Amino acid sequence: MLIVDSVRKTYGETHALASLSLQAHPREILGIVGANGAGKSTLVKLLAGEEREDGGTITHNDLVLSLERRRELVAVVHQEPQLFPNLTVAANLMVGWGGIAKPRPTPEVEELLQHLHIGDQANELLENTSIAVWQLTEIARALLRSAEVFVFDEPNSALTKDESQEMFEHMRRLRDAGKLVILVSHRLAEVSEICERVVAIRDGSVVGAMFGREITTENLASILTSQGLGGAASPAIAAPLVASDAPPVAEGTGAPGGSGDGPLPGRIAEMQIDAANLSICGIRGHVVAVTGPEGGGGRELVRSAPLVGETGRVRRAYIPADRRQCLFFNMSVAANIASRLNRRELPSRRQLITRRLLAEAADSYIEDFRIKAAHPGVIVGSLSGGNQQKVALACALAVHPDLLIVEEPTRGVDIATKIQIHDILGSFARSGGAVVMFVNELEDAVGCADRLFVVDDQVVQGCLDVDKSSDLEALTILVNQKLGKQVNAA
Amino acid sequence: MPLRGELNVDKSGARSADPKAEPTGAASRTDLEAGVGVVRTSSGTVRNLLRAWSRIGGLLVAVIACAIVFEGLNTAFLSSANILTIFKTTSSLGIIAMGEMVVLLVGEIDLSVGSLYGLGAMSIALLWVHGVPFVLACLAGLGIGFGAGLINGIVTTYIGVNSFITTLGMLNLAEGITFLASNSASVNPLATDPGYSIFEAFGQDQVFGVVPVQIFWLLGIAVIMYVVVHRSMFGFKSAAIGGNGVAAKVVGLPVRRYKIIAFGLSGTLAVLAGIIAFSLVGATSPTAGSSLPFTVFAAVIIGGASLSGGRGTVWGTFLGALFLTLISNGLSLLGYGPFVQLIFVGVVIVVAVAVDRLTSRGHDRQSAPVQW
Repeated sequence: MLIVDSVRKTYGETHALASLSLQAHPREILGIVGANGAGKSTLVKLLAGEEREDGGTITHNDLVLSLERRRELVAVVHQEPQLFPNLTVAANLMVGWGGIAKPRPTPEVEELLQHLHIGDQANELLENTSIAVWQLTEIARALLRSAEVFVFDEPNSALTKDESQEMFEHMRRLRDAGKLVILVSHRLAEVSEICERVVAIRDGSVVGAMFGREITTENLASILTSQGLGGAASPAIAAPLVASDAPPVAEGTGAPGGSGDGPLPGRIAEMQIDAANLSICGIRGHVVAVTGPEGGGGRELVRSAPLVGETGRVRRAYIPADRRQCLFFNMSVAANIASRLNRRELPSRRQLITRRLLAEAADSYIEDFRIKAAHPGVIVGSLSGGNQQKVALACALAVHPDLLIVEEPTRGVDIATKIQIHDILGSFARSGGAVVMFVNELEDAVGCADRLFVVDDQVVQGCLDVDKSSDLEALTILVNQKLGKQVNAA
Repeated sequence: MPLRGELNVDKSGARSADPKAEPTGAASRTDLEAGVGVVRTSSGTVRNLLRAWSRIGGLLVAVIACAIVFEGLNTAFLSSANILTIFKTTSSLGIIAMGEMVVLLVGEIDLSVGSLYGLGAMSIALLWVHGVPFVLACLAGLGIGFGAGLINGIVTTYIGVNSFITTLGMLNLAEGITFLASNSASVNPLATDPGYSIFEAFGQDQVFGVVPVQIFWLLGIAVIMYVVVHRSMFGFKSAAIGGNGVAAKVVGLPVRRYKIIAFGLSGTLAVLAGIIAFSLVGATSPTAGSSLPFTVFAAVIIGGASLSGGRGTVWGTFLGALFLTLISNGLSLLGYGPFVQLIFVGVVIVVAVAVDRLTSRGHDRQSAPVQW
């Protein structure tokens, strides 16, 4: 049994964990849910032995765990596993073995890879395999060193639906093998599906727990949004983000009509968002979502447009799925936003740039986008994931784009921030902008999109009209029908 | 591997009927603790300032401490004449280091500064003794430095050769040209050569009769570079480019142009430093800058710049150069030759970075100083 007892952790002036206590048992899957900044990532870091707590103890079977022991005992599977991409899958398991000669896979290693269904990829270079294989390799490494605790930290935010289901299967097998499994996730539906017990964390301590049948998406959402989340469902941010006299971004020439049902013929090449010959996407005043399995062409379609800059009178901005690709982590929140502004948009006509000037320039954005930072000069890396995402949005909209291209706008973001981001995207469109986004979670489409394109096998398989009142379940079924697959009933 | 047998091979077999039907009974409810909340104190700004200045403050303390130690060992150290000498000898190093710092800031590296420093001085000297007016020769020399820097930048950004390789090539190329053009001989201009008074203004004159002119060159360049790096859009966006090249492309920053400018700036400043040293010594030899890059990197790194890009300050670089000169000067006053000085510089550069890593709690992104 793993016992976390009154653990505290402070970063500078921020209390990340305030006397947090919880217990986890073998043969159960414990879910941990909480908003951004609630302390989930800190807890994971402490469990993994990456950082030392300021107070309190973490014990396993009545033994207090040192940092070194935790690194052996606890395996963390996250979306970006720490492995060696330049080695084969099998070699990744053998890194760190003793001996002089190059190690050869033992029967144990081969058997283990077979168990995890990646035996056929044992001799592939890891960098040529999918994220799912990376995560399974990470699990395999942990099993080889007899880890007892498996922490899955947002494991499937980069996985497809099928891969996710398989990952859950692996989690259940680990549980059945007597391991202690902890799932940290934002996806309430999954938590409610797979976990036997769920604890909710807020402001660095446990605020609620649920068992068995109590665990439903609704109950989880109500715990998380009930209080103190800063007005989750607050009214939309209605800043006039785009000049209204701009020309329509695109006329939707190739777009299907209103009902939009029925598969669309045509290859991806004809579906480019290229402003000149737009076919499906980027209609001023609309949010268009594209979904589909990884590798099916949906993501590539969204990316196929020139992502930034200006063509004719259409100005684009792009937010990649990975925030690290659009933020400057050596700079402050204010500097990140100001880096997108024109010289003449800075508040002063002075020719010299100072931190104060940057802070003034970014101030209205920080307020409008509800970015929670101690002050504008705070380094962007110290913010929680959701706030970083809001900074990324603020940065993208700071260039006053006509067309905003987003991949997975709410990846790794808690439910309250999700709603805010949907509001921001929606109001940007209402003020005359066009949004094209690739989504993995249909929740995003329901949250703010007007139309949803389903793309697979490099072809648009269908088009659905959606709005806030759309039923997520029904939509999922429809999308799966378009994909020609059996509905994956939970 | 005791686990092997327990793991269910069959995927379908592993799943129990309904995981929620039987919650593990042993699981006890966790305490409902009152949330303390995320507390942010107003000391955040102060802390940030301290963090940003800790590197500089530490350097300043190191400089002063060394000065006191040397003064204790030899009272001539803090005489006004020696202090002026220290600043005088800092000037060339400091000026090159500031150029190098900008290259590091945009996330590249320039190994060729030493040989460009030699090439610039040598080409000016040769042009001059062959009858070209000194001012024109200087412009040509600076042009060579700028041009070589542009080539470094273009090859690095447009062709995609790693700047380590590009500038390593330029290092050899420039040194080879210097030797070829000079027949590996030193050039000593005569006081009767036309334009000698201007030549003296780079490194021999004394302002107000006492202050060596190089100090004004150093301070002048430092002020200009301060504005360029810390107060201009160029410096701001350079820090962004060096901090995250991928993001810079996504944002649409002029990555290539800024990198090319940084290399050009570095080459030009190297030649300017070469002219100043040339004037100070009154002669230039083809080997003038061959060991310089290492000292330059020592100064820049001690000054807080990062080899991985996105960090670097002008005042830090200035202090780094001053610190190294001070150590060399103090050691030679105590009678230790260049070999002992080399050993000291080697130790100091590693210790400086080690102290920084240990005090800033290293790898933590959140505790790193903010460039902007």
